[in-house]
Amino acid sequence: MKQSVFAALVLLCGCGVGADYSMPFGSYVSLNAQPDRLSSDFNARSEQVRLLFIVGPTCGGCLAVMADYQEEFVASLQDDERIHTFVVHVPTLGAQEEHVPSAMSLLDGPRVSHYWNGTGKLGSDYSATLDIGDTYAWDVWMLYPPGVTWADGPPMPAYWQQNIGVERANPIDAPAFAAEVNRNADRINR
Amino acid sequence: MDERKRVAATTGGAIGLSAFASFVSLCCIGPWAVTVLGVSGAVALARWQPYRLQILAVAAGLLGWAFWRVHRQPCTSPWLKTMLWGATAITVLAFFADELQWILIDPVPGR
Repeated sequence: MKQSVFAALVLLCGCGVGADYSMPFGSYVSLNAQPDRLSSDFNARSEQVRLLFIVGPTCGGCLAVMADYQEEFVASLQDDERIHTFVVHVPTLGAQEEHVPSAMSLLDGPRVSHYWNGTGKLGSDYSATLDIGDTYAWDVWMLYPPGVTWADGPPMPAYWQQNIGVERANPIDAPAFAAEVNRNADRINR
Repeated sequence: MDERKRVAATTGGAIGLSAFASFVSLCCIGPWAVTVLGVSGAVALARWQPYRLQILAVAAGLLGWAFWRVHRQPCTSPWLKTMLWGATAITVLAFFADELQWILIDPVPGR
């Protein structure tokens, strides 16, 4: 809550949280201004287990999953240096950048990075990566083990869950996702 | 309780449940839920989504019952009938919420 209030205040002051390169806890990066920032941040943490979530900040279903994941495992991982979480907010259901700070409060911590992709291009890129045809990739929750890097396009996750009706993919299941995270993290020595 | 009060109570219940069903069904059409109810409110509405059809079914049942009672009475107030028809319209809209979403807004960017 404090973080979202802080982010909102900075935005109101016109200080440009979205353009903040240091990305302190409680802020987010606008991929409109820095389109390569997500891939560079992702690759910079290639020795960690990385979770990448694409969400709509006004989508009730996405927000509910964010709250569930936070409660199930993300909050408890904030002291674990082996894991980092990336959350990309895309403009689905009429969402705008102003909706990001309040949504961020549901999934937060020092090891969670938030991004705003105003063009929504990331979802289209992930449609190709996940091979889901014309279905726009949002409300998707992905896991990458160490060693995977982002080259020409988004890499294929080792494990993913979704809420967009892709039958061959895993449905949303927070305990199952937590188990996958722990299984992958246990392969890394602290 | 006289018949008139019973009709009003049934109709009120039907209208209330229809409104609730509509809130649940229409929660994801555009950003209104987050704007009006905040993030916590949108999450709370989303948690009712799996029960949407059941809620709509109960609302429809209550509406049917209310209609039966209202039309059985010789002199029912016009506002009660208006409210009942309004609740019916909202329930029908709520039933087609998924389709409405695609008509009213573009849910995903670049389509």
